[in-house]
Amino acid sequence: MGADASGFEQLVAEHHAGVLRICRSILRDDHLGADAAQETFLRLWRNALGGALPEQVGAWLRRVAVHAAIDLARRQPASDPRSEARPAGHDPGPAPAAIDSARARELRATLDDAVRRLPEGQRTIFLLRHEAGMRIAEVADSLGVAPATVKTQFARACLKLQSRLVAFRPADERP
Amino acid sequence: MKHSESRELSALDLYDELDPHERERLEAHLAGCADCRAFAARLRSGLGAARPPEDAFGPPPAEWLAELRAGMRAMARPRARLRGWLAAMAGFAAGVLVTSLVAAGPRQREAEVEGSRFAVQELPPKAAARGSLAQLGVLLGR
Repeated sequence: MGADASGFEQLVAEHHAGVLRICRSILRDDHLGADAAQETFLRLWRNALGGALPEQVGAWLRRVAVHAAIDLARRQPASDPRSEARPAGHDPGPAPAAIDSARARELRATLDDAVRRLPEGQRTIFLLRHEAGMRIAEVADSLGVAPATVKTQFARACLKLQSRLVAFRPADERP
Repeated sequence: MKHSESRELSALDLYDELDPHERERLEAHLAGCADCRAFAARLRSGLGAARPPEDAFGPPPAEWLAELRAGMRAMARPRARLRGWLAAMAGFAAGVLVTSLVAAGPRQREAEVEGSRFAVQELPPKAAARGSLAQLGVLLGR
């Protein structure tokens, strides 16, 4: 294939988890997340074929993953519900290590619903920080936005979400 | 500090995103504000408790990797085809150039027809066609 395919696959193995986590956090779907992750690595491969790998591969992959996932999310039909409930044909790897309590799952479902209601910018920032575990500075770099702006938008998103979680009552505590 | 700012900083504190100066200001405010302390506690038990589970991703699944490799091959193929096409075009262009250079210089070519020798000068295509007619006339004994 011209470029060093085996060396490239080492890069894939090294960064796969981080890229997939970013894509899944934005797309909220295993299949779509895997597609966006693949698109991200293929863009890196295109660069490799051109003879130039980015100097900071990790940061480059984060940026491309964020935009690939955002692009893919925008191409989804509006009526298509985001779907943790969709059957997972793609195996993203081992199942999540932690098995949460029913209360925590309910709380997260309430949070998911509230996250959907956020404006797109705040939603993306929140998901990248909260779900993908990126630092504010990394989110800012990936989105090409000033860190102070990301920080403010993230804090505001948190407060909106908290106001919606206040009404949350677990099923076993409802009257 | 306003309560609204204190609450934003409390949210950032939940994610360990405060710089030292912000932390100092928040702590000073919380020390004297019971409402904001209560809010920070609610934040921890609300949003703070809704943290996603730690995903333990393993190596890329085989099926996903196979699709990626297929994509990589598909990307490499057009480039190989392009290189082959460019090489063919370069060869063709070189051939045309050599032919043009050979054809451009006026030089004598000798031809022998039925024992008689005559000369035909290399000419541009139309003139060469006329030359061929003249040559035909010679052949026909005109």
